[in-house]
Amino acid sequence: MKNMDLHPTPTFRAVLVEQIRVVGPTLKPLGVIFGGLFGLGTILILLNRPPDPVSFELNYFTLSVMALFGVAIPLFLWRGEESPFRSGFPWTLPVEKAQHALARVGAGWVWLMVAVVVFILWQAVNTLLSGGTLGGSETWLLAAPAGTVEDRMDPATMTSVVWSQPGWLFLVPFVGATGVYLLISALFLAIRHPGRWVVGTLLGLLVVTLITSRAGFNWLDDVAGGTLNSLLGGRYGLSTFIGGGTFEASATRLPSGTEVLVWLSLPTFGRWAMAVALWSTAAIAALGLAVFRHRDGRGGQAPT
Amino acid sequence: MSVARVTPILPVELGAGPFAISTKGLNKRYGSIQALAGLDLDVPEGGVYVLVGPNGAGKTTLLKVLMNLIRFDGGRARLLGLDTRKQGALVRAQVGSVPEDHSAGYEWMRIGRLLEHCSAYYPTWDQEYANRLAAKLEIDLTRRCAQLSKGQARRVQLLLALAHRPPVLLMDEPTDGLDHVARDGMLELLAEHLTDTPTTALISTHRVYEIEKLVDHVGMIRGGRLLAQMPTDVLRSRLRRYSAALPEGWQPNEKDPGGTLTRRAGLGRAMEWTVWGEEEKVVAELSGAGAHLQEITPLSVDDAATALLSTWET
Repeated sequence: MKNMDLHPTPTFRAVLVEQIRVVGPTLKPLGVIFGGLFGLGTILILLNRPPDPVSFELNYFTLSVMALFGVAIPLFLWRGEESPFRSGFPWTLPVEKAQHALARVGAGWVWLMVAVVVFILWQAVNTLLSGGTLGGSETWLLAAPAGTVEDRMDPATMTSVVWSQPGWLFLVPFVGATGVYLLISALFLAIRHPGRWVVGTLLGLLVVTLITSRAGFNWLDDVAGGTLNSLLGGRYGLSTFIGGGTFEASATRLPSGTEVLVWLSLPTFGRWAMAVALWSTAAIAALGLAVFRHRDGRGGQAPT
Repeated sequence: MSVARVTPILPVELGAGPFAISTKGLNKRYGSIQALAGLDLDVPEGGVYVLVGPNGAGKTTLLKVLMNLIRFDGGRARLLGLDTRKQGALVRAQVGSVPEDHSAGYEWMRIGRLLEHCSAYYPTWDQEYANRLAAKLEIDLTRRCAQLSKGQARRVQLLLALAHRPPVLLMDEPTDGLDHVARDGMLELLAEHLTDTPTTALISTHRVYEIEKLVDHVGMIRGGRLLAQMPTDVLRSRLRRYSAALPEGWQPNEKDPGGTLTRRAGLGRAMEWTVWGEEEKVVAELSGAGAHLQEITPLSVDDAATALLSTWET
């Protein structure tokens, strides 16, 4: 049979569009879970009518929740027969497997962005329902330059700053959730049983910690702790990437006994941008390597 | 009584082709299990080739390798001239497959939506034909994939395999899970499809008798190796059952014709041989040994495959 008689494969665009349509219903259970929780939150706000309006801010908590979407979506996207490690239905379709995996990642990302937008809108609605206003500014306490936050602090060692959320902070949930999503997707595409690896690694760490603690030192704190801290909470760590610097606050008590939130430093665009560059590169590289595992081979795509 | 004889030399070459599917020295190992051990197989273009072999012979592995669903360790596999390893997507575009398992599509998806989904993936999808197939196969398009019984899933799989009118069909136990009526309907539909659409079909099954009318080539594999492949005409003409009455003092072991696969004693002095060889030669051998031939019957492909495979098993 001559090549001109061969049936063509679909275009990447057609596959991507179809995957966006398919991934939506696949994520329905997740939507129901989060939708239920958020709906419940709104009902509680309406019933309790809190004395202070619910603030509309992108803080470490709300940004973490949105980054969590990036963890949850791949769990639903690659389960069962839909894992590329199984030759289930999706992988029998006439699409180069690495491209198919990428199209699925892309489709999941579209829905992730929808989830982030919905979450931000939900926050805005809650703020308005509780009598608050969108925008505006607030006063923050900032620790002395390069200072630390102690359990009890003198107000003289702190400065007050008026803070309003900069526009770039609204990029943080989208970029942060995307990075986390790509990293977790890479995990599912690179490893046949990611759950087993995660549990195994945690158990391994536990065993090493137990053994080393018997030998008189805490391995987790003394050896791995520094690396882990840099990776997660360092200047350009994961917390900066997904939080844009909003993780830099700690609770302290004034001599009067009042508990306040003190900031070590204000979120800055430059620092966040640097974290984005590092983590995005890592996430894209990880995804590229993971997807590469599933390639069908060189060539073979007939023009459509 | 059944007595195993020395295995005759059977054909493994099908001439010069053209072949829609061709494998050469195909190897695949799962840990310590050698699923394919240098498999050389040729499926003629436009033919309906049935692949038979015992459980674990490598049939399902071969079908998966041909779609590049699993990677093989050595050798080569071509489908319509395409390298299955390097051109997997293009290969799958040429193939309509009925897989071994009974899962059809995404569990949450309704069948109607599944057809729409597949139409996005196969540019040659024929929706009108898909609707006709759905009606003939009595498929309820509103049902979800997870709600399908084994037989219903098989019918959906057949629909998906045929509706884009692929040049090649790869089917793994296509009648598995179907009741008799559904099976007959499906085979009728398959026969119509093969008549209407130029198609090469490679069918792996333990129930050769069900698809015997459709088949024109047969291949037998065992332990991941090809034992024989030939047109069914050759199989029917070369493998026959000879019934004869024996004279006094007959010593069976010495006087069995060459190519005897099995010998079975009948009532009284009757004896029955299943022999691979040219009929005239076998008749001459038996007559020369004093046997009085009573009946010569060709074997069905199913019986022939069973006879040949059981000979190798011993």
